[in-house]
Amino acid sequence: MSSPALAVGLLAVLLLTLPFWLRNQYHLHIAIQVGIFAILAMSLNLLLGYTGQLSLGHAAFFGIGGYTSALLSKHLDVPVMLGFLAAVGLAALAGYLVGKISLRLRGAYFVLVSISFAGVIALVSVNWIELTNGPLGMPNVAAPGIVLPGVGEFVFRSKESYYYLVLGAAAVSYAVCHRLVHSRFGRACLALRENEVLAQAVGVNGTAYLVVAAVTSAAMAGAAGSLYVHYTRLVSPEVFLFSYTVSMVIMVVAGGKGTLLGPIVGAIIFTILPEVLRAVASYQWQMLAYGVLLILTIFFLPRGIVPAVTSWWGRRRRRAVTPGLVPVAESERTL
Amino acid sequence: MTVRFGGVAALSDVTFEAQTDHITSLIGPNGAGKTTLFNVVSGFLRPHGGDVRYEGTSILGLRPHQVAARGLVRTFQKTSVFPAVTVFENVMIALHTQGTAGVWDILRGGAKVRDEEARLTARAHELVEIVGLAYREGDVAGSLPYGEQRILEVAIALAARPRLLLLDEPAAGLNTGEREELIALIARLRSEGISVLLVEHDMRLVMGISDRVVCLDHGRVIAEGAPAVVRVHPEVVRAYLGISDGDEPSSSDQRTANGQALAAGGDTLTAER
Ligand SMILES: Nc1ncnc2c1ncn2[C@@H]1O[C@H](COP(=O)(O)OP(=O)(O)O)[C@@H](O)[C@H]1O
Ligand SMILES: [Mg+2]
Repeated sequence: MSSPALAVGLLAVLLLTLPFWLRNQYHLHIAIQVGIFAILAMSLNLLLGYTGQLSLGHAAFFGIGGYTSALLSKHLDVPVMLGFLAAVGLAALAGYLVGKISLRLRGAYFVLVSISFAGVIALVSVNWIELTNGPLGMPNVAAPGIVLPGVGEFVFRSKESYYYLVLGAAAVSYAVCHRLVHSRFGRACLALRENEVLAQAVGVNGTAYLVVAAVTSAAMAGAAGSLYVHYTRLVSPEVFLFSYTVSMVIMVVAGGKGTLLGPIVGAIIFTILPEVLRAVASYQWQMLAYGVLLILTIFFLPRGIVPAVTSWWGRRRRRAVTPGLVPVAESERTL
Repeated sequence: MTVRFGGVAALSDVTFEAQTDHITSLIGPNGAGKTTLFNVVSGFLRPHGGDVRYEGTSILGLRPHQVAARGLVRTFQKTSVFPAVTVFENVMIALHTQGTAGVWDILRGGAKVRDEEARLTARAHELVEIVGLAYREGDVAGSLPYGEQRILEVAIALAARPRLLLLDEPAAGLNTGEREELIALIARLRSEGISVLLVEHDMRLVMGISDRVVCLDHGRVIAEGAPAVVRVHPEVVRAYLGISDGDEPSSSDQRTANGQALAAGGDTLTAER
């Protein structure tokens, strides 16, 4: 077995058995948060990392996903699993609208439109009291359940079961990103990030691809939002907080934007770190330590943790494999 | 076609034709309007008047990616690659129009998408090899020496499967060896049925390879025809000698040198940048 395959296998076993040895409910809670933030960070990375477009209103898609499935289950008794699909769909639609409006001009324009959109949606959630119960939000959001033939309904109420639900969603999100990135679509996005004029000259329709990227990204954020509210069993305008967007950006940038693993590593570190700090320091010190760590990361690893580790590992291996490099390359060159 | 920037006419009533299976060269002093003309033809710039027809239909008003999809592919005077990704990925990106997989196909996966990826991958390796960059395949494009980046640009353009390739000063800054390789490559393109519209200052290259030469000066066509005819055309010699008015002295030195080289048979002419 090659070492990457071994590593992946070990990681899979670790993730699948986590609830069996992480018995502490609080630790499991953090694991679930990590999973939800990993989906969010992957979603933002699809735009920021691969197309170079910064969405500073990403919490809007998260919130739309959360409100959609919470409202459907509360007001219309829609099964949560169906509500989840609706949440993904509506968030995708929102991504389409924002993208269609702003991605023709893109850049700063997209940043501004995405922020404004998030602001408007947050206002709606606060002020449309008949629908959303305003700033107080709505408690007792249903837990998701599935009907198992012959067994009856299984409800994801325990942290253990919810962990698996989130793990599954994160795995699907990763698979989606992986497929997209290693494809004609992913390469078109890269082209736009790297050199838009040249991209057009070789036939890439810039705007169309950016809109598709925005739709996919928003759909994933919507899924995370739905998972979040059915986990906390509460939905309130809190889901639109700008700080969610900031967290996502930090996770993507520090972890390594434009890499598949970067946002996941970022989500792990920057979800666990505040919890650890909370246990050992007062609020002011927490914020200070968080800020200093973040600045150090960006300063010393400007491309992020994952690219830094990958290139360090690559250098180490090259040194180990070819002492005194021979021009293998030259002999490979044929006409 | 006509293009004005502010009050200045960069192109005034320029009319010319690039024939199928020909290498047509566009020459002229700096500022003559050659790059502007490329911008118009490739859809990056809308002319104030005139039309661009390709294979019988007007392509005026098409967006750049639509023009490229019809087989008119251009390169840029200023080096232009996808800097942060590898040479191989550069070419893979540029094979965009050679694939059809949409987002749904990609998400569903399956044999069709896999086959297409395999086909594009093979083609990318082939192209990298054709231009002689196979030994650079895994290197990040931005880290390549200047000359190799210019060669990579040609590979990128070829990946988009041009039927008419527009090259904007591809030999500028290349050393002698690289220049010879480029000439051989351009000649090979024609033999494979790719028409070329070439902007180039290297007169030896232009005169040696072209079927037809069009000379622009101050946004007007001042001469066109077979290389041997254009080379000795009095207007062309005059433009290159810089007898005509109002240019800054620095470039007229260069012009004089070029003009003399041209008159002497165009052997030693250097790139004018
Ligand atoms: N974007 C632009 N804005 C204003 N003037 C321009 C622009 N592009 C080109 N020009 C002017 O148009 C003329 C032709 O330029 P160009 O097409 O680049 O010439 P060439 O490629 O033959 O050297 C020059 O006088 C140049 O200064
Ligand atoms: Mg030019």
